Amino acid sequence: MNIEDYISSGIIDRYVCGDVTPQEKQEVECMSHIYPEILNELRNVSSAFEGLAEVSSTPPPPSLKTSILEAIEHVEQESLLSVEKTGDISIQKIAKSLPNDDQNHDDKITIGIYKIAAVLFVVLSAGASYLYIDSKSDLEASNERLSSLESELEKEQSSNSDQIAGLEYTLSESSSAINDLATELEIVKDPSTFKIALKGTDLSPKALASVYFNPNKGEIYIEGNQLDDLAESNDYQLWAIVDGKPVDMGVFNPKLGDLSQLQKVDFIENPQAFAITIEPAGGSVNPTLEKMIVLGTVDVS
Amino acid sequence: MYIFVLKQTRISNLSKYDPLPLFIKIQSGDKQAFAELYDKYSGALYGICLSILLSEGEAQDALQDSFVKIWKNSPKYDPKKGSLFTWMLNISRNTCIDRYRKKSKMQLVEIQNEEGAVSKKRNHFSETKVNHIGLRELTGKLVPDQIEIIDYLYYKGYTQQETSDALELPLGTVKTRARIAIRELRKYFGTT
Repeated sequence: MNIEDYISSGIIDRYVCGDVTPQEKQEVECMSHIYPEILNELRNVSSAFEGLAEVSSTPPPPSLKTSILEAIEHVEQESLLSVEKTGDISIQKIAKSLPNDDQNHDDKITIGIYKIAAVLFVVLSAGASYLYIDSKSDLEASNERLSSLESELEKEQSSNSDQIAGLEYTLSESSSAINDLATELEIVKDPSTFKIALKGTDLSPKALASVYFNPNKGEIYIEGNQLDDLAESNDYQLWAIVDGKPVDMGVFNPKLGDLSQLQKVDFIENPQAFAITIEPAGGSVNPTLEKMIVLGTVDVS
Repeated sequence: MYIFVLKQTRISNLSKYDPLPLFIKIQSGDKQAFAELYDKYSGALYGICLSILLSEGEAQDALQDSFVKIWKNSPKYDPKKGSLFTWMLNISRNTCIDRYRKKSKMQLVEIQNEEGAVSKKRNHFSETKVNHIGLRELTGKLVPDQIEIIDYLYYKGYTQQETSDALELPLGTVKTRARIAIRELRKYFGTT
């Protein structure tokens, strides 16, 4: 299965716009699990629309927030976790057992009261009142116990669902990180990949980056090995030197959240060297040579 | 018709923000966390609603519906299937497009009744070229053909086939324009 062809068929563009049959939707989701290039393409297209949404951001009227927070008070969340289901059954069991106990208790008290009434009249009124208060407080105590058990159970359920959600998230992050690393390893191990070390210039002697250049597959990856964090107003920009002239390869953030640190850039032929400069946020048309922090020449003999 | 709205000047940088820790709380029913999510994303989602529905009143109703759905379906969100922002954008987009379609169906019926003839065009509504906020952001960055394609495919929710019919272009042309438009969109608005 040719990944390039799959991508150029435009199915991912249609998927992001919702213009796919249910089978096609499943297919794209499956493909993105198997092929990291397809997952990457999907992420890139989605993030373009996210960016568009972000710049078109418009604050809604403040009254709407109040209205929405009020509306969710009346809406239950759709729960999928089975822990909650067993929890419900347990509450029912507890609720069912207690009234029965109370009934037996009440029967005994009634008999008791009649027995006492038959023996002593004066003591009866004091005794009856005492027993009445006692049974009433027993019932109250049982009810209280039920409420506290219920709320304990709710707390446990809530912390269980928290834990499960947390674990699920960790698991999906781990498997996605493993996929990323597997891809990275493939790229680096490929015999037709050239690794070009971009070493620090006088401006920043400790800086280090690497370019993985594969002319066979037509792929180029950049990896920031030792690049300092920049202020919000700056970005790192990668350049390729072709025919003695700098070509913009794009702006990038060397610190990705994932384990995999390789980032793909557009392919160009016959690069003589690669360099990274610090530019104002968003990048520049031409490199600021005084802000060049790493440089590496390409030797593809 | 021109929609005049005050544009948000703060740069929220949603692409660098990780909403998942907040969302895990929301999935367990934390309403405070939900209010925070609203603060962070309501601007972006409202912008989309405005661009699709072209009316502040409709957009506000749709935004409310969308956030209620987000609350309701939060336990169903699966990080493996894609980013949270995209998940929320899709909920908003679908809510708006459903409303928009109901509205256009009503208008199509009106046209038939008045003229007594079946109109070939999809609806009167789509003929109005409204320069909504989404399109304004694209102006100067994408060429008009590409902007139009994004408008039909993304904001109006037309399929590629429907776009081909509406704009009277071959389907292949629609596909190619979409590909190029999205590539350009990535250049200007993507994070890679």
